[in-house]
Amino acid sequence: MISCLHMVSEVAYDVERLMAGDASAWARVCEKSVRMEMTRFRYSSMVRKWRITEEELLSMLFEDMVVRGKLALYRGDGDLYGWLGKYVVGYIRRTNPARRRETPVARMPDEQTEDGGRSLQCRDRRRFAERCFGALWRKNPLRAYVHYLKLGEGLSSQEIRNMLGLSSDANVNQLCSRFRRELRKRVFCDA
Amino acid sequence: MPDVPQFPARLADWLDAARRSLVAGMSGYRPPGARPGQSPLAHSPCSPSRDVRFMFASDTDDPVCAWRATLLVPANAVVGTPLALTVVDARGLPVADGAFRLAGCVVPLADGRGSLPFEVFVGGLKDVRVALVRQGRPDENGTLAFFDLEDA
Repeated sequence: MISCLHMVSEVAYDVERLMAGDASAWARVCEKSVRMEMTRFRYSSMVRKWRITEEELLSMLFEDMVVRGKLALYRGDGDLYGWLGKYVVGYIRRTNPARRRETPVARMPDEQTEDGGRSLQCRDRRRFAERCFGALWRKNPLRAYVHYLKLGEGLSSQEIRNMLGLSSDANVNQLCSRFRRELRKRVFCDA
Repeated sequence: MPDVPQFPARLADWLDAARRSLVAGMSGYRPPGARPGQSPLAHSPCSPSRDVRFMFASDTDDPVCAWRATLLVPANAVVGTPLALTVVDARGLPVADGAFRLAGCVVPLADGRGSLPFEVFVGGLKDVRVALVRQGRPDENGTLAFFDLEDA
């Protein structure tokens, strides 16, 4: 218990140093808090799926928390350690590349190498996904538009409802989830 | 300081809604989910506060027939707002002339560009006939695209 409190106070000290402009304290904050949160549940699947390395994610977090000054959002109400943890998990959730129409294949390291054969595979996979999407669009265009606006353009349910004149947010979510289910079924059956 | 009544702002909102309703009624727009007798005021479409881009691609990869079209819905588009349509061929050059079939209507193209009203696009979402119509050629069909394959 005492060592835990000691650790929290050390983190608080390092965070204070960071906020005062001492970038060298970042490594200690990472080691004691940020990295621990990163290795938990959601982070690992995100790294696997989107091919983001741990160092990339750490530098993204540094950019957000220190350079953009998001650390200053901590008001001292609750436990700093808990706040840091929630912030890291929230950041990872917010940076989901699917919301910005980035695709997992685009982030694959093989596309950045000179291996033309592998790149072609990525292109083919994309075309296959595109064909499935197009086929479902022909079957039910409204669902496809909703899916595109939600996942491709990252619009909220309310914005989609207003744009397409749908009756409710629930209707938007229902259309989107049905389309996603059909797409999944088609991709796994045709692949 | 006493509360200032908000009537003028509400009145302005009401007038704006009525104007949109009137334009919607005149254009014959009926949203996808609306019943025949329903007032257009209830479902006047309005786009979000940032631009939205729809991409359509030809079904074929043939360099002679392939095309890509982009429909730009500007931020805060309402009934009556024109949407810019751009159609390019496989080499990325604008399609010189022809027409583009989208959302149940045929949009004439000039130097690869055309436009159609926002409410026409939203009203015709369920129409899946998307095609580039060029003189002396059969219609070249296409679909809504999820990825931008140009940068693949």
